[in-house]
Amino acid sequence: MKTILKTIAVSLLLIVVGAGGSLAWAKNKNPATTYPSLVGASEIKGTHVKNLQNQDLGQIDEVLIDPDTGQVRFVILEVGGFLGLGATRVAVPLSAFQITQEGNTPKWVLDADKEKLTNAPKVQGKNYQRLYTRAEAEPIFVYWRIKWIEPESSSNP
Amino acid sequence: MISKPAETKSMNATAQRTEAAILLAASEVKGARVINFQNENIGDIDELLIESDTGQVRFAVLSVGGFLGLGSTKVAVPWLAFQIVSDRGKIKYTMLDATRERLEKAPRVEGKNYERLYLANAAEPIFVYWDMEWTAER
Repeated sequence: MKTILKTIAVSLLLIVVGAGGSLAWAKNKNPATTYPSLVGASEIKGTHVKNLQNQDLGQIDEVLIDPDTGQVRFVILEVGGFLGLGATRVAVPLSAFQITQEGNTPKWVLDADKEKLTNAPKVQGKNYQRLYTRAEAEPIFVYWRIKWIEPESSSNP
Repeated sequence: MISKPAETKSMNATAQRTEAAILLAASEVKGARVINFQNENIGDIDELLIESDTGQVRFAVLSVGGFLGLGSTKVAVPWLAFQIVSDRGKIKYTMLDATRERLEKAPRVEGKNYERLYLANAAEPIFVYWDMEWTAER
């Protein structure tokens, strides 16, 4: 009897742990994205991004990947004439975008007005490696109101 | 200061795929050379396929050149099956445990219709083939 109870207790524990695991996974999903699909990185490049007011903000210039986890960390958005500042490039966490389906193509929307983009953390040149460090990356997540999730590969001791 | 996270990462067994703590630009990965463990040039990376909802790179499409003697062939390989060799933040080349025989039998992709690889029934067998754990929940 004792053994059976123990077994039940252990399996309950396993279920709880299992549920916890999938919950954490679900948190990584972007609820605003209603277009679950596989998208080619080279197709993303050049995609135009609009804001909630349907203004064209510019286009996606690059996708930055954490090679250890395969997770897209940032999207580099090339802001066109929208700011009246000439070409400016900002790094935005991928989960700040809402990706929906429009016909057969994904539509990318970012909640950003001129002021938000003007003050956004900018990137210069192609030296993206510094964006790997938490000290550089976390403030960008905070700015775009995206919860910083420590990459799995560096959170383990 | 900057080298500290790199040191921490190299201690970590799960971080052995790369030599440095970097972010890779997708457009630099495209065209990266792929060699196998026998040091043979097997092709290059043609595309990275990203899950739009999670931001996870699921597959790299590997363009196999003349290696198989079959002309140009494309195979989808789970991204985490590759080892990335980088130098000063730039990708140098990638390594894949793929003999000629393994590549010949590998699941191929035709055209650019990558969307179907989102579905578990299309994607999971590819993970199984490359001995990778299928983790996506559908």
